[in-house]
Amino acid sequence: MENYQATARKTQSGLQVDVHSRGVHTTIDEPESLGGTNTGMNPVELVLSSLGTSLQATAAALAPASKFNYEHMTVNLEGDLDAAGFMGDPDIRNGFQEIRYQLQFKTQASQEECGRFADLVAANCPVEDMLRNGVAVTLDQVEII
Amino acid sequence: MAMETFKVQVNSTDHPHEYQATVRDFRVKLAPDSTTAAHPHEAILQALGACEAIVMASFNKQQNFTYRDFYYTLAGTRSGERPGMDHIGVAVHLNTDESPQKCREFMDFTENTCPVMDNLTHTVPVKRTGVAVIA
Repeated sequence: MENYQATARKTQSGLQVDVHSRGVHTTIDEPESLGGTNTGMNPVELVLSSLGTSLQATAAALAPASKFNYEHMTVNLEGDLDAAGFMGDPDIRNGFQEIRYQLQFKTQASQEECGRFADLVAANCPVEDMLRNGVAVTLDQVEII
Repeated sequence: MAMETFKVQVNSTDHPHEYQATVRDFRVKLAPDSTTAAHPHEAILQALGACEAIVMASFNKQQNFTYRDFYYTLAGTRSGERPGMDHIGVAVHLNTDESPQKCREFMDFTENTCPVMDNLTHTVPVKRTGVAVIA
């Protein structure tokens, strides 16, 4: 069993949040168009960043056994979100409606080999699995301090 | 409101197993095994906690809820039966004068409003649009 932990602390500034794991901190905020002060990427952009990193790490882990060599990979990700959803419109979902990604390999491998390897990466990518198939989230504690 | 498309690029770096995510003017380094960068699973937990925190800070006045301060702690477990994590446990720590029941109600509102919560618990279509090869 692997365990992962994180803390997200609201700062005293606007919508800004300080997140950290193992002492590695990142500032999260919203752009001015969504009510923030634009001091960092927003949470849904962090989700896309995590998906892109998970695809990268999965590719790096699977490449040797798949005899697939590449020098560099770029992942371009997009997600569509309509803020009307979380603003209360019951007909529009709160989160991303769709996530798309494109892979770019710098490699001597053929287009067909890259396509097959990309299929293998997609099937084994942990974050793609969670977004595509869902994950159980429970509110375990509401502590008043 | 109109549909907005958020865009991110993630590149491999000169360091093996370290990746750079670029979003608008922002960059974050993520890595599966590093003491100086968050793991992608940690980043998912961070995104969920930050998203719930931003919902609380955006809607507390509308929901008539007051607080001085709050933070989230999140724990994810991965059994290995599937590629991703199996479970995420969330705890919220509120510095507030509100009653326990009102805190619970506000947390229900927060969970039912949070975009990242929606995507993690209700699934979202993930499509690969292409594979480009650069020789």
